[in-house]
Amino acid sequence: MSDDTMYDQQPLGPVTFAENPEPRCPCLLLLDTSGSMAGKPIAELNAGLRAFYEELQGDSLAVKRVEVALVSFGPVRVISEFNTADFFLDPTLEAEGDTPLGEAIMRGIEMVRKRKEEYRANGIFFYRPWIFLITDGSPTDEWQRAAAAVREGESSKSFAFFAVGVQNADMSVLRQITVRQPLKLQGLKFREFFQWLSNSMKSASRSNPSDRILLSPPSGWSEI
Amino acid sequence: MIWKHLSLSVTGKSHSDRNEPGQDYCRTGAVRFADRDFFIGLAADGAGSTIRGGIGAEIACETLYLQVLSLIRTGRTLSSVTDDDARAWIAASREAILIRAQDDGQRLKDYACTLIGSVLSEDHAIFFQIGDGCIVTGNDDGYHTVFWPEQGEYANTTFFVSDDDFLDHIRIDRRERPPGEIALFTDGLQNLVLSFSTRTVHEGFFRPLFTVLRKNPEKGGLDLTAQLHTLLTRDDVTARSDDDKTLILAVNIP
Repeated sequence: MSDDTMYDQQPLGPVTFAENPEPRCPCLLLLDTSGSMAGKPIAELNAGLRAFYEELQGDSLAVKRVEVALVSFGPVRVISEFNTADFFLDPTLEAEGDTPLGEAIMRGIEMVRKRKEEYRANGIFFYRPWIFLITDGSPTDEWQRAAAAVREGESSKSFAFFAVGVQNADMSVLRQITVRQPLKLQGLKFREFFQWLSNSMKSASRSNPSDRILLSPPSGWSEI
Repeated sequence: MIWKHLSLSVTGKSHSDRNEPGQDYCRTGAVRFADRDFFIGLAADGAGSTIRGGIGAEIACETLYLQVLSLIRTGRTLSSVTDDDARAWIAASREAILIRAQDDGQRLKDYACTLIGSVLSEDHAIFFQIGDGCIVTGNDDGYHTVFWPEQGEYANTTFFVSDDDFLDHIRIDRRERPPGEIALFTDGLQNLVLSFSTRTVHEGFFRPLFTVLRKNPEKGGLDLTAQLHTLLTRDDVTARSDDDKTLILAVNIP
């Protein structure tokens, strides 16, 4: 029997594979839309957000695995529940109201908790959720309880929480909220930030089980 | 009773693209001692976050294999092997990895790996596992997992032989009769052969493989290892998992 005929026989050819949903990388964005964001900041934020979705949509694996949820605050509104990037309403956020940062964080953490329950109930693997808080001011509501919830979530590895300050953001409050070093956006480089975030989400969605996901250094958009 | 078996580890695209070696390892053997037949199947998956996980995987399998062999050579029956004996096998593997790490001047966790294994005799079966990967048994009632793959909370976390609390994550099970068919595989294959929404084994993968293995004559048959390599590196397989993949198959011929 020649090698060719052995190969042709393909005795292991008939196997089929189980259908499983893709593992999910949840990412929640808490976006400050208070009055002080009016004008150029909110316009840049909207443009950055749009580019973020376009980046994810252009990546065949990320579009199936990365799930983004959007919450704006000033007042707190759920703009989008967790959805893959092909589902994007292009909300065009408007600046209004004050900065209920504490309420936004509490709402966001609850959304993450619920989403994880849904994944578990449906046998879907998922990566540790990321929460990004982006704010340009200081909280106008009670935020200490939210800070405690963030610390609790970080220590139980329920999620990873990152804070990004824009312009006159109260960085000292952000330092008290997140256990990670808060980052300061250079000027209004929202596009660069979202470019970095989409790259990070793409590599996370590609990682194998048991790979450790490392965020690339926040270069190009943050002040050191 | 004899055991026909087939096993292979292939390097996934995620490693080969970066010119890295594979981190999976497996060791199998059908052993006859004092008129008794045994099958030993072991597979380990080095942690993707380490560069020495593959070394850990190899040491874990080879050490444990020798542990089981020396026990068989004492003439003990498998049913007399306690869960503590099985834990001692794994502890010995961990110890061997630790010695290697110390020799290399590295940390034990740089050699992190999972481990799954089975030892089968004519009248008994022992299964053990730490971390992800899975053991599937086939009998008249179909295919079932011994342990559902253990994962940390997230898709990219699991448990390793090198963990400080490894004893807490060792799972051990046994049966009074060996299965007619057994497969052991690492997590690179998990998503293709298990259905996670229904927590069931995908029969369409295993049944054809076991049928071929059972029918293939001992001598003059197909080179099934080459066939298995073709299967595990097929485009439709690598498109769904670019991780290393190990598959061990064994069938019991009365």
